[in-house]
Amino acid sequence: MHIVKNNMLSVENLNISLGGNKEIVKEVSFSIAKGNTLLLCGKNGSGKSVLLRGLKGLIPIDGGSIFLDGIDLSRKPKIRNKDIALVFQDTDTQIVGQTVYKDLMFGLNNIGIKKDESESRIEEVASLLSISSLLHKNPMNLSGGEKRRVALGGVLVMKPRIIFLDEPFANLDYPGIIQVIDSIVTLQKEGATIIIATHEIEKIAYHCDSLLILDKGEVVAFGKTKETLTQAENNGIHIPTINNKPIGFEELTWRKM
Amino acid sequence: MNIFHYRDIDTPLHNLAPITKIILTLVISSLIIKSSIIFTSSIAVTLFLLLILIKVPLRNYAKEGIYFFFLLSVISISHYISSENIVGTIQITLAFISMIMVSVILIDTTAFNDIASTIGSFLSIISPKLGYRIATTIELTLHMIPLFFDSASELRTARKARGQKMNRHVIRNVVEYVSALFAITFIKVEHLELALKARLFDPDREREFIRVRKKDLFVLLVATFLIIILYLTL
Repeated sequence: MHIVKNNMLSVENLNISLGGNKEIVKEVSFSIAKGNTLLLCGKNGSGKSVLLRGLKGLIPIDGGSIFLDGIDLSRKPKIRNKDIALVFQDTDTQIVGQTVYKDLMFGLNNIGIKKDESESRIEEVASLLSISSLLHKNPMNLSGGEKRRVALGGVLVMKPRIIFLDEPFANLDYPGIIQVIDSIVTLQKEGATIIIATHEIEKIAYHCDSLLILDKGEVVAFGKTKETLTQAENNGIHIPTINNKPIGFEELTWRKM
Repeated sequence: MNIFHYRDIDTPLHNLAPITKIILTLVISSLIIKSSIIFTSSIAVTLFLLLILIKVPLRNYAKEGIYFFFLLSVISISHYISSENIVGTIQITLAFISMIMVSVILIDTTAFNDIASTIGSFLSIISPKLGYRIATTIELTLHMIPLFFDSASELRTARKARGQKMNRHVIRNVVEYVSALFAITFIKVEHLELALKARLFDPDREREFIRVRKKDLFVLLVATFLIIILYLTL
């Protein structure tokens, strides 16, 4: 494992127990450089969502350090909450505005951005994620992929330093998955630092710089995606197969998306 | 679409300022309780015509009608047993239906963020902190209503798909259904709380005042005048 403390986000020996005796996240350490994408994978219940929520500051951590640009923010959950954006798996509860425009405005109002600046940010993000035509629609009437892009837009307008996506492909059909992959690739081109938590790694692994595999709250593998991918199958992560052999990095089904 | 969702469409009612619709809702709701059956019937018919005028998807909403039908039955039966007055019972029934219709019209035509901002801005004149807090409470409550009805709809469809017949073992089925509904709603509330926290939601934040135009004032004055005249004469 290569932990570099002056990376954009460095996590050292992080523990989260959610107030119980059993630790959900145990001694987790990893780092991600600015502009890179980390794929966080693991079986259901491996602690991915809890780890993201703990890092963002939504739930308390029991121990360990969280460095953001070399500054220890482990005891400053409010600052972490502001600097880190999290797009939840359940977009229906994350989207609170009754039109897409109102939802994008929601976060901006919360951080006190003035109207002119808010409108320019909304225009910019809507254009980036190709949701300009949806601005005056009711989010509840949108498709799964559109909802996911709106939820992503809702956090992007707040200009976070790092973006977490929790199960971005959950409950999406083929066009929805393509839309989300497109949005991730667009963000990467813009230089965003992203952590994607998913067990559907074949969909996005090709676009990720590093891979972290979590099992029962512990890191079982962490490194460059191409090299670490071979360890995924041994840790309960499904890799598509060709002739009964797990496909390699270059053959990943969704890589051309 | 399920009941109590805002539809962003272009109708004269959608274009009115939230404050106009809120005041008219309050006027109708307060007068309808103690009035004549002719007044109540007139209001009920007018509201029904308004529902049709703004093209509310009544067929979709009828699915949720079972909750209101249940409440309506309880109210009407208990009123009739206590008063033995059939006209009074019909009037109470119509008043209840009118209240539902007026709420549907308000929520269908006004985004709850706008309802909350309007009430918050007005109350903030008395006390800014209290005003904005009340606005937040209203906003969250209104946000939960469609979530609750959506959960109920999902649950009902899932049970129906698995062949459950609600008219067999009624009590057991209703208890199971209601328990599951509350469990799902609590999970959604928890998710909502985390999502709000994640987007730095501040319950005390200042709300934007939504401007009232001359057109809104005109509609408000004329409609209130007509309602009061009807109330006094009928």
